[in-house]
Amino acid sequence: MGGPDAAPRRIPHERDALLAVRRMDAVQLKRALKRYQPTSRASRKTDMVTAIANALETPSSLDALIRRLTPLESLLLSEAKRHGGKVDGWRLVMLASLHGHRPAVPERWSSNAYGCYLTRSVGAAILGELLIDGVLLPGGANASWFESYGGHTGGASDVVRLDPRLLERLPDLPPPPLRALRLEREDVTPAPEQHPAALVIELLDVLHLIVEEGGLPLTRSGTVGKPFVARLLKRRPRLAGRVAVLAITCIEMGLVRVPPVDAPPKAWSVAASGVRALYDAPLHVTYAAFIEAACRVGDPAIAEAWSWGDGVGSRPGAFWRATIDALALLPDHPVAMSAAADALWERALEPAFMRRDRYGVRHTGRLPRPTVLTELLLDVMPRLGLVATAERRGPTGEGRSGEAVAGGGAAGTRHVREGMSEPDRASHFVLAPALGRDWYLRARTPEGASPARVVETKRSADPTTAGQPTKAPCLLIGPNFEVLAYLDSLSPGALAALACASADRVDAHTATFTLDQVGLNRALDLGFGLDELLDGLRAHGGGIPGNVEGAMRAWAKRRERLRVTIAARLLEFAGAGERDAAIGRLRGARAVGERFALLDAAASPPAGTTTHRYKEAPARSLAFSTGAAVRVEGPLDLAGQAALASVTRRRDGGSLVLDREAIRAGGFTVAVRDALQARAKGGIPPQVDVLLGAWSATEPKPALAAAVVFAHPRASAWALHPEIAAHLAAPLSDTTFLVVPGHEGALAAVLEELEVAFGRHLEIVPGRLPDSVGMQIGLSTRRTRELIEEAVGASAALELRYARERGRTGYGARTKGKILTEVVVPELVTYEGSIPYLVASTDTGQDRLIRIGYIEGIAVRWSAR
Amino acid sequence: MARRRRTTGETRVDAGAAPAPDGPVFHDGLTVIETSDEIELTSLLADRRIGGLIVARLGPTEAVVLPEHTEPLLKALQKAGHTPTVVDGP
Repeated sequence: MGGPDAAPRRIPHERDALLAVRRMDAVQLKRALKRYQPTSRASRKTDMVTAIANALETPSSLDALIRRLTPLESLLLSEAKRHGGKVDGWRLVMLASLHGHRPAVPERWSSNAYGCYLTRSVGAAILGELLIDGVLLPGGANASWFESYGGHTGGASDVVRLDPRLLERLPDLPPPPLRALRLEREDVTPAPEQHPAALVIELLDVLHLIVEEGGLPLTRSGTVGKPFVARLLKRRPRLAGRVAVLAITCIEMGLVRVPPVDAPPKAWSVAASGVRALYDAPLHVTYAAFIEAACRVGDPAIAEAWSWGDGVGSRPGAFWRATIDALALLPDHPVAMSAAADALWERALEPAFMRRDRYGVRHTGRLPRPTVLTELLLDVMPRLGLVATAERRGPTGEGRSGEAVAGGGAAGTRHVREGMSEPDRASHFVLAPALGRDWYLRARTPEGASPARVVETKRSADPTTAGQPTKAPCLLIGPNFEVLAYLDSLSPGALAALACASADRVDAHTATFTLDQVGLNRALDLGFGLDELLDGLRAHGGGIPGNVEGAMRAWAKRRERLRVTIAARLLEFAGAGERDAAIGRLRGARAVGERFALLDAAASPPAGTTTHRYKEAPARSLAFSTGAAVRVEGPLDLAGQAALASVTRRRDGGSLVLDREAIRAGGFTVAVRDALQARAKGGIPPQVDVLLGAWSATEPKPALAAAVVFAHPRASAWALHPEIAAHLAAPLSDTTFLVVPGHEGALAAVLEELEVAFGRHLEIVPGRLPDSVGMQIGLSTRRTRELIEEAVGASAALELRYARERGRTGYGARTKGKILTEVVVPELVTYEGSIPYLVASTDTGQDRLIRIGYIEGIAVRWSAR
Repeated sequence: MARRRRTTGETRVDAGAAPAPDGPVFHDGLTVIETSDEIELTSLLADRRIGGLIVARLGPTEAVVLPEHTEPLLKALQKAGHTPTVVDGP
């Protein structure tokens, strides 16, 4: 805190109380003014806003405001400060409830807040005054304490904030101590299901697996991809049923980068800086952050149980976390589960979550303890290591000991619990706080960092929680590359040293890791140094076997043999001399290859430099001629240069020509073709493309052979005759059939026997097939139109047999007229209403408008144009 | 029909296919591979799974890959037992 009247300074921020104040109506503004400047006599809106603005800029005014706070308000604002000025409002409500604050729910609020009505609920009763007075700034109008708009639906935001100027002036106060519940001690000692350090190890293990898998693939609906889960389970069977939840928790903790909404679908990558910060943070802070994220992720069974509860508001996550907060009230000794649940509900949870309905009807008396609380205490909290449970011994000694239940594992415990009614379940168990509860509460003290901001946490000064080694080694490193870690004495430094290892097994007190090359690479990728890792292992493990250290150094050295720079920025020069001369002028550039320089983020290419951006479509700068020559008519990127170099050679004149030898030798591949196609103006001409395919043998060889054809305008009708059909092979079209080789004489004999005169000569006109030969008959209008459009696109001519349209110019019906057969050059397809027409011209220059539906036969003549 | 394996990566970009630019040319977004020695890069180019992804060799120990081939390259390197240092560019 600065001095009381230090010079006012403007803090750059977005969440300015003044912005909120400007949205207040006159009634609310008067209340805010009374809060910030009680002596002000301003009555006009603008004057009131100015007075509040002055108060926000004046430290002494803010200090006076802080002195006027009630004890409850002071408690709430101190908690908000511990969370950096941004906190879930339910956390404040729960804190007030834990400390026994029970403000009366007003029958009617004296003012609304920013045009929204506050609910008649305990939450609103606790926060309402501060919200109306503009001291706490709401995160949204659809929060749980505002009437309206589905307060506790999915899109609600219960976050409240503090103005940064007020935040700076608030003193750092520790939360007052809580008074534990007075509950009778039970003679059963439960054993915890999970060590909190084991949960941290599992979280880090899942993060490591995500890194090794190349990212976290999510489906469109936001769930983790099933193949990914299956792959992880194959590698870590012990994570069965938890992989997806742990992966989503990683996202909640900000350890996985969320891509922009419009980014192409791709696995979400791990934020290396976030993971590194996680390793640097004290273990209890990391654990608390994990617990916080687990509340936000939730559990379908808890959500379902919550939806069946009555008389409670807010989202299940808020109640989940409030239940964890309420664990602070439990005594340190084992207590009966039902008594503990009842006491927690009555003392803290029910007062915080009780609310009136929207019509103001108040629930009289206590609300019953909801099922969801039992589910949380018996199933969720033990799995999170926050409490330990045990089955209670009956009066006759039946039942199992706590050790037996805990030893059975989580699944076994749940099996025992299933089938019991709700009161039965609670009354059969004993509950006791576990180490996780202490870790979680410790992270919330002023000296502990805010668990929600673990990634911003610096190394703790406490040597027992920071990277400094403890007196007794907590790691045992074997020459077989196995590392045994003792969970009770594990420190962040030891955990960081294990960043290069894979967790094989985690149990109640120990975890077993394996040091391997994959793990070392992953740790180095995450920003750890080899010496740092070796020092950590040496310090926390009391030495490293020589063979292990040697292998790790060899793995790291092998890694240095190959370096891949993604999304590099390269500057290409005409030669090494120019490059070397320029590199001194370019900050952060280094030589690569013979005439390239690799630029870093700070270096910018010289102005006016030709640029190729490889994430965009390449420029079309190649022109192919039908004579196999290629011209480069603009800047060509490296992929284009490489593709061109593999299929061309320079002629004496310097021009480029397709190199048949290079192509035959394998220079023309699918990738080269794609590269050339993408850079050729108008694409590779079809006639050049087939030549390239033929030279490279990537396409079948063309066949040139004599054949006998049977041609007639109604050849397909002839083919129905069984004696003729026996000698016909595949039809070329409806008018032309290939004759089975060797059957020419037999077919002629059949025709003679049928007394059918036939010719033995087809008139071949260069560039044009014999009349009607190859013409397709009886196509649909749609197919005919498609063929025409193909011909237009390929600049081919068409041979058409069509009927002229009569009655186009008059009022009468349009009918088919005279049948014509002619070769036309198609120009375009046009429509009259829904009727398609072909606009074309003949080889004598006459225009034609042909109704496509009246075309009876069509053949594309590639060479006739 | 089976395609022949691609050999693009063996092409040096200084082969003279394109006219020399007047000034420097800026290439943005490529992935650069650097090896400790020439033999290492040559062996990478000879590997069918890796060489096919390399678009051009810049020098004795340097080559480039198109951005769309970066992920397949890293997977191919991993499969082939290589453990590269991967650096995200600016």
